[in-house]
Amino acid sequence: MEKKSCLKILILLFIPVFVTAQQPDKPITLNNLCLMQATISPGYMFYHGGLSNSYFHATLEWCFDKRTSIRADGSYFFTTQGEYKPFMKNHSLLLGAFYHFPKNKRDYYFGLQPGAACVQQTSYTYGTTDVLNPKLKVAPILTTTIGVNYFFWKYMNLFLGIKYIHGTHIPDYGESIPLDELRISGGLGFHWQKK
Amino acid sequence: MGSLIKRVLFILSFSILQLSLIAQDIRDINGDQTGYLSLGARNSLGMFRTNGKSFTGTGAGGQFGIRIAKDFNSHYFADWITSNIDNVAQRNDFHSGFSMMPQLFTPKLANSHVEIFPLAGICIDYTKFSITSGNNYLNGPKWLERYSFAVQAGFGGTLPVSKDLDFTMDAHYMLHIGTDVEIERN
Repeated sequence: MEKKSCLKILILLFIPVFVTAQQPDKPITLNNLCLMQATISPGYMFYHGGLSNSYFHATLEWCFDKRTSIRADGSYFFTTQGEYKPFMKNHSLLLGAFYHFPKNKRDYYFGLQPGAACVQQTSYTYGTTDVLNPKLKVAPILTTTIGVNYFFWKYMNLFLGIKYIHGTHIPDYGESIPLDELRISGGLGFHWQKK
Repeated sequence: MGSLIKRVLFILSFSILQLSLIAQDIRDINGDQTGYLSLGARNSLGMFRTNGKSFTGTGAGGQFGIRIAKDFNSHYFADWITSNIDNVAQRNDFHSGFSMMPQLFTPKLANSHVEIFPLAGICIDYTKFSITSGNNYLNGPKWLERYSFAVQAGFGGTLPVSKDLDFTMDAHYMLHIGTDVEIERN
């Protein structure tokens, strides 16, 4: 009984040793950091009183110094929630630059990315005529993004970002559709730092 | 048919300097940057008038820049702008050209190294008008296209965000030489 009590006391005494043996949090350095992030991203489009879209969103980013990076984004359109589904496709590709504010393990950022959206409408009625299988069209878009990364491990991070997209889809027939949309992305990403 | 199209373009562009693919020395933003090559992406917001009404368009593209002399930069660009004309027609413009940017003004704003410049240049232009209304669906789309060239002039500013990144904003007034294409409602 006494031996057990001594063992418990010893373990309790050693706990602080294990705690102090942990490495203190190292602040992140963005220089030469490559980030890869992917997630399912919901979007709110302002057209037609509000449409809820969903995308697969992936990014590849290279930080070439402590503050700045170049980033490519790809979004694959899944569907629109609800009965009104104006799009068959609304994929997009973006390339732009970001400015970062790293602080300890967090990294706040904003950026601008020009790009292009590949849009195909679902069949619709134009005047008295049904337009079946409209053509896929490419629209230039302008985007701005703000967000935060949290580097919780040497190779992994958590991220949250909000992107605003501005553009217009002009179909061959009928009224144009504004592509203005807010998209939210969050999830788990990977990173790797070049020595 | 008019003889000229007047168009104002507002350009936002980002130039990423000294990518690792380019074996350049580290840029000293205080020093002489002659010979530096930069690559970038750009967004364009275009405003133009047709039939007495103004319309705007959104565009995207890319560019590269070469610093010709210490106080003389140049940008070589290609971009593409789409505009909706009253839900009657679509206008697509493809521009490719260059701008010469003498750094006549370099305001001393602390250590910001902001550069303000007039610019002038030439570009080639492909324009396609497509009619998006009317009873033309069964007959196929109606469109017109033309090639022309344009001279442009304006002003802008460059903010070196870091030694590797510049942000430039400029406005061009673009004067197209050649025939014009306009939409007329029946």
